[in-house]
Amino acid sequence: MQYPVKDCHEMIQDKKGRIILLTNETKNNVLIYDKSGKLLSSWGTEYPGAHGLTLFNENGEDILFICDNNRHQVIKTTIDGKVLMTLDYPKETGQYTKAEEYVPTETTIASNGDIYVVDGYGKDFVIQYNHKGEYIRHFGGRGTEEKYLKNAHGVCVDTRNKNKPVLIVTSREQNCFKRYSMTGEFIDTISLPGAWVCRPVIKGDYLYAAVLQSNSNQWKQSGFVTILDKNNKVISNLAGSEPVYKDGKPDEMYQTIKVFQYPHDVCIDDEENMYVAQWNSGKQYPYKLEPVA
Amino acid sequence: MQKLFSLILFFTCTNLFAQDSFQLAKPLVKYESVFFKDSAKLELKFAQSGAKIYFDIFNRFPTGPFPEVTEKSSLYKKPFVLKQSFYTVRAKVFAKGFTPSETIQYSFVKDGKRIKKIITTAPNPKYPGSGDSTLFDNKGGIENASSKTWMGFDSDTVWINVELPQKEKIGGVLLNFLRNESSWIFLPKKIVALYYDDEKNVYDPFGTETIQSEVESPAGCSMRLITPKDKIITTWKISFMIITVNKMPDWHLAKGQHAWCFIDEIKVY
Repeated sequence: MQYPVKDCHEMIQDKKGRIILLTNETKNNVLIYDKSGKLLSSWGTEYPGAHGLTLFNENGEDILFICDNNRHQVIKTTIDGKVLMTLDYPKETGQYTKAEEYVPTETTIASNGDIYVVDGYGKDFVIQYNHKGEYIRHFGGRGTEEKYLKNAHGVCVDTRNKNKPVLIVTSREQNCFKRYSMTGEFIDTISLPGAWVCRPVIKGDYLYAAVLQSNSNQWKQSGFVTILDKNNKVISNLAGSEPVYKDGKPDEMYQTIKVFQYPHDVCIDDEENMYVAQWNSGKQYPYKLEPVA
Repeated sequence: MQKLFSLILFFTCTNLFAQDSFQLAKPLVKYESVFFKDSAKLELKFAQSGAKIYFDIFNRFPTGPFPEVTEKSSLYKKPFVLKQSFYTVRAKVFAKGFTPSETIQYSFVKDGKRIKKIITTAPNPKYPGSGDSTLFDNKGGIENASSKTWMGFDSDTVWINVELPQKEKIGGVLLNFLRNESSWIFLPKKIVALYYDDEKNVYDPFGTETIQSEVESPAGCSMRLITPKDKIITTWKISFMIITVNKMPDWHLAKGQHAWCFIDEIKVY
């Protein structure tokens, strides 16, 4: 294979409409496609733990943030791979004594340029920096109260209420998302029983997320994709159980059709097509799904 | 509003589309424990329009072959209650346009003779179970290794000593193990069951089971029933010597390393 992949971790669409895939294959960490799947270019050989890929439009220019699990770093690059900034492990928090304790999985960038990093395979903190990469605060982490996280795998800024953006953070092993203010105050939990959700992806009024696996059938390729409406209520599970709510609470969700193995991220393009990237799925390239109704 | 998507070929992917139709996943199975004192409730779920669950239920221990579940088996409509000694339940999902699911199989076991106490080799501190009664609390059969119902061992040999309140005639013993080889959890290589002969003041073996792990097997619980052969046993103390897999086989990614052995329940009949 000329352009191989290992785990297909995350995907985004840039302002040119191109689909950008991040893989931990160091022959070509970043693969750039058009919407039909034609490979346009590739770059990146220095991201062995490439995991999180986030797009930010900075003064009209597309910028990428890559979380590397192995390097224990977040790397800001141009769209063609020039490194602009590197964030090392956050000593300023007082929570870490060495880089190995910090395993960032995802970033999200607020409209003011603030950078939020989730340490989803480390200590589950959310670390907030300003646009220069200067530490502001941290929150989340592990604990027994509802405000804490377990496997804070993803994060996004939910701008569906334009007047009051909030952070949505994944707590994957707890099968839920948790909402926080932009300054880290816990708001509430979006319960998704049974679903090992990855990062939340907002497009229009909807929240989309890959579900790595069903809690009832762990490590057996039991993933699916979930879609929530603007009230954060599940309206559909692709290849998963039909959502049922009783007394306002969702029933346990699970895979019903073996379409996916371990979905790890979804990308919704400008035509509402869905791309599904998968972890540990036999070096499978992503799938594209087109809306039919 | 429901969002509907059709799946189309995007990048180079062939495996997914080589099949005629997608296979249904297994039904969701809900129960508190496969071990019960008086009764157990079993619920099957599969929330997809047009899909139906068919099942068969057998009043016997899960040894030997079972007939395949078909659309002529019983149609699942509501949860059912189990009360007899042994049950093996098999179920499968069918829907038009899809390949039927794999068959699931679960065994349910009623409590046996009262056990006074069980003492074991120290489990690994990460998997201590839930206290002294872990192995006779009628809680188990949960396939998640992190469930507190499991005791996890990583020593070469595990000794388990079972004490009954009084001397009784023993018809058999049952042990429930977890198998999840991708998570390094193997069935033991050998189980030797011994009973205490208080006239001779010795433990004598009354049954042995040897287990091969030559190929990777589906993950799940594995009940092992050992019955005395050619002798009548009356005792108040039973002991098990369990030889674990100290080197994982060549087919495993972690070949040569020590496997885990997980046990959640012991019954005496």
